[in-house]
Amino acid sequence: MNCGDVHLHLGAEPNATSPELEAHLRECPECVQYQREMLRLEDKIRHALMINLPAAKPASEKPASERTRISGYSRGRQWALAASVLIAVTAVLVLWGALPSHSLAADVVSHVVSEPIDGPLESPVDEAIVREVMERSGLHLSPINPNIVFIRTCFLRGRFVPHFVVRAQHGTATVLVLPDEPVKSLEHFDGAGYKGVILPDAQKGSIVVLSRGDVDMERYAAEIRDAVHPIEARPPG
Amino acid sequence: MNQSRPDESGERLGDAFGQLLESVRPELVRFAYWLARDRSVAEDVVQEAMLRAWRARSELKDAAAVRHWLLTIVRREHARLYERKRLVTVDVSEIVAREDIALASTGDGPDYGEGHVEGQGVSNTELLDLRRAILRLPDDYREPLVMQVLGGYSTAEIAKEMSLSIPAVLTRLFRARNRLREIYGLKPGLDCEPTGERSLDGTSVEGTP
Repeated sequence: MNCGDVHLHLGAEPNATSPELEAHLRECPECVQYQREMLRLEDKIRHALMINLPAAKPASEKPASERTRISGYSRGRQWALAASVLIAVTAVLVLWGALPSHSLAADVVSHVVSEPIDGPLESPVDEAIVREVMERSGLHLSPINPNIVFIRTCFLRGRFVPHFVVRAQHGTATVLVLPDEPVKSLEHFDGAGYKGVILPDAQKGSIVVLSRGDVDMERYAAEIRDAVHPIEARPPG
Repeated sequence: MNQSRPDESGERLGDAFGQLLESVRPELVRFAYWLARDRSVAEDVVQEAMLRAWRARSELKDAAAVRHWLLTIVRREHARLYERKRLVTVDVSEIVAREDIALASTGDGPDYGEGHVEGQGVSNTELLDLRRAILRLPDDYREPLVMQVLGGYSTAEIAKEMSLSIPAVLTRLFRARNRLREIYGLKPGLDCEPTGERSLDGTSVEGTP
């Protein structure tokens, strides 16, 4: 991965991370600076897009004279459109084999950064809500030591999975239970200000724990792994 | 929200779904606004999208996915509008001037939660400049950026929705942010040669310098 690749990937996904990217950043202060700039810019873009719109009349209720001018497609334009669609489809087919593969860690970090979470993250979530969210993914969670202060179902890599936040002694940690994402052994990752671990679970999936704080993620990942069971394998009691 | 409980009447379920739609409406209008760059068109798009969502509500299997489902309906409704009617007003300065009141909004949207640095050091002037710059982005750049940042779509999801390859989406997102870097006087990223059209997908994009 060279500096151009790094700029392209960070410019497209400022929160992206991958082993190749992290390896390059360890050796290249210029790209580290670029990443910092992109992360700062990303916060500003996010803030700028969160606009509060004053109420407006729908265009359909405006007098014709105030509506945006509209014209139909000409036949030539339709042919041009059809041709461009054909070219795009061909390009997709040609490039299909060359798509970059995204690591699980990169997808998780990107998801956590991009998914807004409302709430103070202080009070434990009601057990019934935890049960409901876990059951949506066919899972059961036995009681765990750190309090779950937020939980919901999220869509990640084509699956609905439990996403929760636990409050540990030195901060919060985000947990994703991924029943369909196997890993061979414990993996550590580091990117976009997060450190995390991916731990294989007892079945064919994995548990991801990540945080920006000083949290013993391996311990929590192991504890959560032991507490998560498929509903049909739920322990008695 | 559980739509499939057999002990509830259809009317009650309808009420609950209607309330849900209303609760997310501001977010949908905001999303539509950045796609359409026109508040009135955004209202129309959301109105039509909500109607479609209402009709298709039985297809929603998971309440947790409702936000993403609705945003996708809004995005498709917006695309449908542009297929049906070609908007020929392309004077970006006019658009920016017309939308300046909305752009000056202070924006007190929801907390982004863990991982977000709360809009640190963003002055109102800076915010306004950035919003104007986003409005000036060509559709091909602005749409994936809004889908990614505001809608939380992954690159793969954007590619699927826009019928593009993943490399094409990455290129457009990169170039969108490169343009926004300009307003901070930052050097463009390495891919952006002024006349070079090096892109991962090999296609040229509207408005590329």
